[in-house]
Amino acid sequence: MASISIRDIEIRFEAFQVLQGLDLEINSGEFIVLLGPSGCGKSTLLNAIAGLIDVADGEIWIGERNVTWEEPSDRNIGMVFQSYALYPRMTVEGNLSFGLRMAGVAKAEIERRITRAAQILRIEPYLKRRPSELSGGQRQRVAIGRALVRDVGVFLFDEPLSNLDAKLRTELRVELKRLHQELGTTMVFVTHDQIEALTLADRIAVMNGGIIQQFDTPDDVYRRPNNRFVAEFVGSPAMNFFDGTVVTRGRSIGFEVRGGPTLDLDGYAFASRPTADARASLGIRPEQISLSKSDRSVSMPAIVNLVEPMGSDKLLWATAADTTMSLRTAPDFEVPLRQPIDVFFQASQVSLFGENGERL
Amino acid sequence: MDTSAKLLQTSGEKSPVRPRGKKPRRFSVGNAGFYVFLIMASAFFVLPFYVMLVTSFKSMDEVRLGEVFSPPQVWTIAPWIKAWATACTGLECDGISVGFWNSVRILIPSAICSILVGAITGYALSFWRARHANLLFAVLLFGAFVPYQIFLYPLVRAYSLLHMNSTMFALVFSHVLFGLPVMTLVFRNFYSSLPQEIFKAARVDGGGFFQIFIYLILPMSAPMLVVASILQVTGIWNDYVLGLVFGGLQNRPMTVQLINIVAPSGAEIEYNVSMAATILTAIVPLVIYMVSGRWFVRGIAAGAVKG
Repeated sequence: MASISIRDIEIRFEAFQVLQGLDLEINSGEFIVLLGPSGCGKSTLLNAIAGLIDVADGEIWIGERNVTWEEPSDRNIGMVFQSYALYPRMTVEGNLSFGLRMAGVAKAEIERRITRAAQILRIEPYLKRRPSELSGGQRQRVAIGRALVRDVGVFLFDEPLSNLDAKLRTELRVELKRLHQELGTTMVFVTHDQIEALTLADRIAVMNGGIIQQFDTPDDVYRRPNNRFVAEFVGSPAMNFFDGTVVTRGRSIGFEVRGGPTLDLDGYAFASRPTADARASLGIRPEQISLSKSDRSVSMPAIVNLVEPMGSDKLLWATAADTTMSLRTAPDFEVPLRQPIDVFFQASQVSLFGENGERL
Repeated sequence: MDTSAKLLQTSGEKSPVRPRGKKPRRFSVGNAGFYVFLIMASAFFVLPFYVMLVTSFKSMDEVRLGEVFSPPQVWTIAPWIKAWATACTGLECDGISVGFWNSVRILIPSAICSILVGAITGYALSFWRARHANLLFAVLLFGAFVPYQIFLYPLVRAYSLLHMNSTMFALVFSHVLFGLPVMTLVFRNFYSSLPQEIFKAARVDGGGFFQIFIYLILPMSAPMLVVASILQVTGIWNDYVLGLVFGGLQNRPMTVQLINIVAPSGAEIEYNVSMAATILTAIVPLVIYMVSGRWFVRGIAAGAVKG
């Protein structure tokens, strides 16, 4: 178990600057997910923590040590890759023991650690097999085992579930979470899959363009996104957005939807008092919109055009103020199609973004 | 056979559908031309070999008759024995066997060293991302296309300055040097097709430069090692210029000895002995091609397609 501290690091590929002035503090024992679209620098950051990429500037600390210029093997880390990266000419046992043999660990100790890792990961029957004789899920388990036997303080995962089919991915996801609870090791997990991020993480670092957009708990990232990028990237179906302007009437603040009604925003927690008549956009998640009125809810006229039954719920596609939006209802809810209705939501649940995309 | 295949077959038999158009003819002018071309092409290579083979089993009396295509009336292996053991190459008359063993002594260290050095350079270039690796590789590639005669004189000067001219070491070193560009190219391209993540995993596991190479990369290189061995063994065995220039008198390889045997030396040319000596010299690459042709193609393809 070890903490990780990334201090003002800068990474370049030839002339191209991937990361600049990036800071990140990860507590000991935390499960951190680096989430972002491809090319956002999340894998680069992970490789830098592992020591597989040189940093141009800044420092990386793992535990109490500055490891910026240490070899990957001296950083107290284990790493799991997307393609499993098992050594094809070695048995599972050989794969697990390679790192220990390189470090000159005694034979009995190697045996003990392999037995333990194989038990935890349930791969005991396959120890004598070659990687090519294993299924995708088993291979990834062996890859995790390779990190496990080294008794390290930090596990790094580079999109480890992306090569697996949907069912296995869910299985292994649950298993990873169980593993984290059992071992309590610090884990850094890179993915572009928001479900993996939301389900696994203690905290998510949402990245875009080499910058950490938000570093928060999954709940905060989902419900109180820092900016429009985070709001758009996290959530499926995506958050609905309405363009408009902020209006002030005496002490209360409202939001005038372009081509639509003015909504009362009492109950919304503004970061600071916004300037009147500032252009802004209002974001609401599909499940925050309801078709039934409740206490202190704000209403807006809409027309439902399409219904998608999803089994556990229904997804409605509607138009309000010339904007397409989606909303979720209970699966047994009967929806009047193509008729003017009212939709409702709580002002405290929405997100308001200024013209620069930052949360108001 | 599974049921679907059965179904397909039976429905094919009963099918009322008949192929449209004429049945392709077995014999056509185009086909005939094609076969004539193939026969001529193979004759082009087989006939000289046939002539060599029959001549080498004739006595000189029969050779003088000039009937090059007729098989020997009396078979004799005397020319082979003479070529191997007693033919004169310059002043010594120990046959081409001296050259054979010289060639073997040159071949083994040269082939092993050049393959190993090429594999290590290719590995370093594709995995370790040295500074200016691409520039280094470009220079090496350029080296592969420079005619090596250009380097002969500078190398001779360099070796004589170091007092190593006409030594086995100079010859082997030259082979390694001139084999380096192609060997590096072959191995670098093969290693570039291997997944980088395996190498990264090994670094996280604490493998050093040579540990990763020996335990991980070398075992995965089998197909390329076969290709490289064939390229280098035949290349080094067939070499003439390097052996002539750097080997000195006592290290002359088989090819150089062969020239001394077959070259006109004033007296009557013993064609039967020359033919036998030539076949003896050619036999090593010939056997290697025949035995390993299949692996060679497989190895070449292994680099191109991800396994």
